[in-house]
Amino acid sequence: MNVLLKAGETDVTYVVYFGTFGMLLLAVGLIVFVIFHQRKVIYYQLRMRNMQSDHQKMLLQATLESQEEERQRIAADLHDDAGPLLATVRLYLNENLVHQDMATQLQSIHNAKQIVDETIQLIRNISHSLIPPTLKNFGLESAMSDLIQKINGTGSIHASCRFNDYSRRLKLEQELSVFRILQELINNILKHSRASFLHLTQNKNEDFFYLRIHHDGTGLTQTEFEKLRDNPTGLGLKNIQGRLKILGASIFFEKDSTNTYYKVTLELPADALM
Amino acid sequence: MNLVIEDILRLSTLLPILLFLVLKQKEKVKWVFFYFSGFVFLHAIISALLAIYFGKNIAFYFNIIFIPAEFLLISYFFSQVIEYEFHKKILIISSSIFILIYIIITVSSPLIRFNSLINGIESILIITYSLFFFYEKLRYPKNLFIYSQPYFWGVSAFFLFFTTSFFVFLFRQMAWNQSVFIYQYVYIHAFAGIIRNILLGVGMIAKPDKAGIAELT
Repeated sequence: MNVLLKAGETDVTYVVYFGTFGMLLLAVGLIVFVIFHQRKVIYYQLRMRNMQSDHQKMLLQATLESQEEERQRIAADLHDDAGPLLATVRLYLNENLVHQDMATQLQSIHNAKQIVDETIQLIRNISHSLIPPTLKNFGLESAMSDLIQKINGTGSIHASCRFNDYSRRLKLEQELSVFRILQELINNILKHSRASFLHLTQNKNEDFFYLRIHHDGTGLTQTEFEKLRDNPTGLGLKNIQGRLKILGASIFFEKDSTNTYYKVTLELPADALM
Repeated sequence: MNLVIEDILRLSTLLPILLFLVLKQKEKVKWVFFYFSGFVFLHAIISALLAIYFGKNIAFYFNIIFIPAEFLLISYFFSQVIEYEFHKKILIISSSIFILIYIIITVSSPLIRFNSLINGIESILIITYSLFFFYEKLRYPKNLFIYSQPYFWGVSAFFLFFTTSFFVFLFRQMAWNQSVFIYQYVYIHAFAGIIRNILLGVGMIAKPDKAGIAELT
């Protein structure tokens, strides 16, 4: 009987020792795991935030660079084209003109007038390159139709455009941003995709306003777009991203399930519409 | 039987109390540690005095109030540190059920000095609350150094105490007549208690790291 009791005691002793030791080990292990795992998660989150912040900086830098390029182009146009033209006008209209005979005076004035007209045209062109007049006067739909018509006119691609519901317009500055994005996307398609057709459609629902480009060339997928966008050398896609950020819009690059065409969807929140 | 380790356990209960009084940091969770340690210390002293002057039976009956009071204090602490509403609801419901079961068992069999079932359920509940806390901290970490938070040390203290004591609590009712087990019980329980008190002391020293992740970027 005593032997049995002793055996029972030993069993309980072992169970208690091993059980307690096991539980203690598990508990300590869990606490250590929580500490290290939590730190890992937080470091990961911090790294993600830093990456996002770097990305924002890169976009801002691209926007600034793009603005700077635009300024330099305008400065160069004014300096190289308008400057010499106005200097020539000044030469025609110098003080000695009053001492010239009537025919020479008339000829000089005529020449000066021609150069002034040329300068006006030049300045108008510069101004139009900043904001297309069709966009300013008639809106995005007309500006895009105009652009598509011009592309069609080249005969190298069949381009079309259809706005299904654009009764409520975007604000002018938003239209300009959307126009620039579409212009850049279409320009990329023309340059790189070897597409034979390009079709732009506009739609909207309660929450979003969509613009979608379909084409049958070699396009980009979302992953490729993100990779190229983060590439320090590519400015165009960064500009697109910068403008999207300002608009609060998103862009999606997809390959159609039938593998016959690519589509790019620009999605804006519907509350951006006037 | 009065072992040195039991005296160390009683004295270690003073550690968080003294640190609380010396450091004068009055965060809510530190108040809970203070009340808890104060309660455990007073209970130990009163139990010892009752055992000396009135016998061990009276001291055991005094224990009747110890378990629910200890459990309610720890549950209150967890209700302060657990954030998910669902977990809080489980905590409140299970704690209420536990107290109800405790009352029923105590009233129906008042002569049982130590009820392993009650202590086992208490341990499981506290371990579960600790797991809720750790799960929340893993899922949505808020502080870079979780160990700079006093509540983390509190949770770890209770978690380690109840996981370490779980088996001795389970076997105590059955094996209290075995001399080897009594030694085991005393040593393991005292060891777990000392660890708990030290961790609560660390919790008293810990200064909460108020800088969240957002501020670190």
